[in-house]
Amino acid sequence: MSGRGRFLLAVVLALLPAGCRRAPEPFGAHTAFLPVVFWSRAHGYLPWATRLTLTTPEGAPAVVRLTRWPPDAADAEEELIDLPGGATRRVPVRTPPSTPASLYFESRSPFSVRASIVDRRGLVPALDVPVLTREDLARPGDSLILGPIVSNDAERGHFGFTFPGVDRDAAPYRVRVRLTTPGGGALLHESTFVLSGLPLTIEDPWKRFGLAAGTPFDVAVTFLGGVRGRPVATGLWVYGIISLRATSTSRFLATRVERASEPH
Amino acid sequence: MTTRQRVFGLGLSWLVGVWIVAEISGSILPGMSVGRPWSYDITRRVTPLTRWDSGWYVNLAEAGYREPPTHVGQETNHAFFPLYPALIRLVVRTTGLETSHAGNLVSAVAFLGALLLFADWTKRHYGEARVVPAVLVLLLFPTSFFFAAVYTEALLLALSLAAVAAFERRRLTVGALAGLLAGLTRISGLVLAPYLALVAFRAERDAGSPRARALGAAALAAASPLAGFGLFCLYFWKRFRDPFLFITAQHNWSGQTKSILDGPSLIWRSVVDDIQRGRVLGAAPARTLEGLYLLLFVVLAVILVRQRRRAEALYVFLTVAIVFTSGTFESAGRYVLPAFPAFAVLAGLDGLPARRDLFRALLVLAGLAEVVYVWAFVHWYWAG
Repeated sequence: MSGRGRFLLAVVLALLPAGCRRAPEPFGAHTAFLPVVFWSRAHGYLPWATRLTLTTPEGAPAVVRLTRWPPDAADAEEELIDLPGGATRRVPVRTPPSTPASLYFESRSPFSVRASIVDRRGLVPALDVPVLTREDLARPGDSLILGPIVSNDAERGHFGFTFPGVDRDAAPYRVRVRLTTPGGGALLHESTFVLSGLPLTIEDPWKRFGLAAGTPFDVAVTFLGGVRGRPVATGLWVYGIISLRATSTSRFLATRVERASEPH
Repeated sequence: MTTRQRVFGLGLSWLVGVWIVAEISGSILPGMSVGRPWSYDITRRVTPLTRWDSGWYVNLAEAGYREPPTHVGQETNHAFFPLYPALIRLVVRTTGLETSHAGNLVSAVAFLGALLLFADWTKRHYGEARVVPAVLVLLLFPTSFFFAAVYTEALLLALSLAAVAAFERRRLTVGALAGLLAGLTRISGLVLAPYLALVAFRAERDAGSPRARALGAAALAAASPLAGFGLFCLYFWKRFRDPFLFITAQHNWSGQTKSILDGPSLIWRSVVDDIQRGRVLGAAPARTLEGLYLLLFVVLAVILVRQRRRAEALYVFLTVAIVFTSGTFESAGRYVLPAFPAFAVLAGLDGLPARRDLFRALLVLAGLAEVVYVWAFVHWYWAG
């Protein structure tokens, strides 16, 4: 190799570490993933807040790493929380307003998380956020199935894509979305696309996927992997929420994971 | 040290300099609070030389072409050519580099190659003494930092120069391949067609080839960038059933119904409007400069005509004409960058003893302007 070639190679090798930012090393085997938290203060909307508490078992202190995605500021992206044994601590959400975000907790010691999205005025019942673990999430090749998503006089549903912030450098992800009539019936829509690099809510799936307004449907999302060719440390999740129009009371739909290794 | 080594060293030093300014601009130099149009995940990972249209190239490299636009005013990535993002994707997939870093790497490598080709071209056409001044003009032209950014300018310049060099040396296959790739890089690649044809014809005739063979070479040369664009259209036809999706996307992008024929009159009207409202010079420095760059390149094209370099003059004229068809002065300073013969003409000032001081003063001024442009670009004030 010529001197110039060696020099160019050195420049490229020097650049590689700057660009090849890898996912942070796992912080511990104990994990908790909150697929979506939300708060808002916009005029004319319900004043939602997320109440979040972290608890350790008696006699077992824990250092928990929390990864917010997205955070409200760069310095809030990761936070180490030191908890003595048997303690319960309220944790500030610190995500941007009116933006669905995910929270991922990791620790070498056991801990538990509880989160609920509440109406600050106390008029609407709280919505408990499901707490998942790393193992619950869909790996590349797996499918996530939920439904039915409905929109009628009584209820309205939506769904969203989410993932732990520790995989921010593996995202964005490519997915295949299949919408069928409830119960796995007729195919209504199928497309493959790349998600944004943040949790993404599909507020109006009927408009987004060109369905007749109000058509109820089931969702099957196959996680095809990251578009940047980087390994995915955790995985992807899809959640669905149904809200009663009259009271704004909401509930999460159950999401089932179909592993790629399982027979369909 | 040979001239080529000196040119390569200048190119590397320039790249380091631009990056230092960009990094300092982003982290130390103050910027007024301008809303960033990109989401948090993108903003946190991209380089300071990834702004504005760079986002479309990053998006294309990561996600490919998406659903076609459905209405005027809808901005979609079909308005961008595929070769540059495809190369970025290749680098990302093979090295694991973050996408914008990969884009900057592709641009840097392409630009260093382009600089060597430009030095060779200048030496062939103007002699050895013109090479370093011409390279300095190219490096210090105020908008030249786009060669280091996640933009197609560096790749297009490299491919254009490679095609020209190959046809001048009668290496038709290499020339046609470079021309085809230039046609896949950006719309400016298309204005290469007549230039390459004239270059190929001239080279064949100078070598004593019969007229028919010279015409054949010219036809091949002209067809190569057009074939690149044709491949792009073919891809859109196969995938979206619309071979003219690029044109549709460009049209929809503007938010107003217009054709390329309306371009010159729209520009004229906006110039008159600017003058009437006093939006010139200090009141709108970036906009005024865009107009001045265009004017400068028209003058340089005229000088090329007077130097009997008609093929080169035509290329510079047509590169300027692209701006006039767009209907706006925006990005004029960037659009003229591939018109490399103009930079060699500009460097002629250095050869006039009485004007050497003027040349050096202009270089310093241009370099300072480039620093300001980098700062403005990094802080989202100016799209280029």
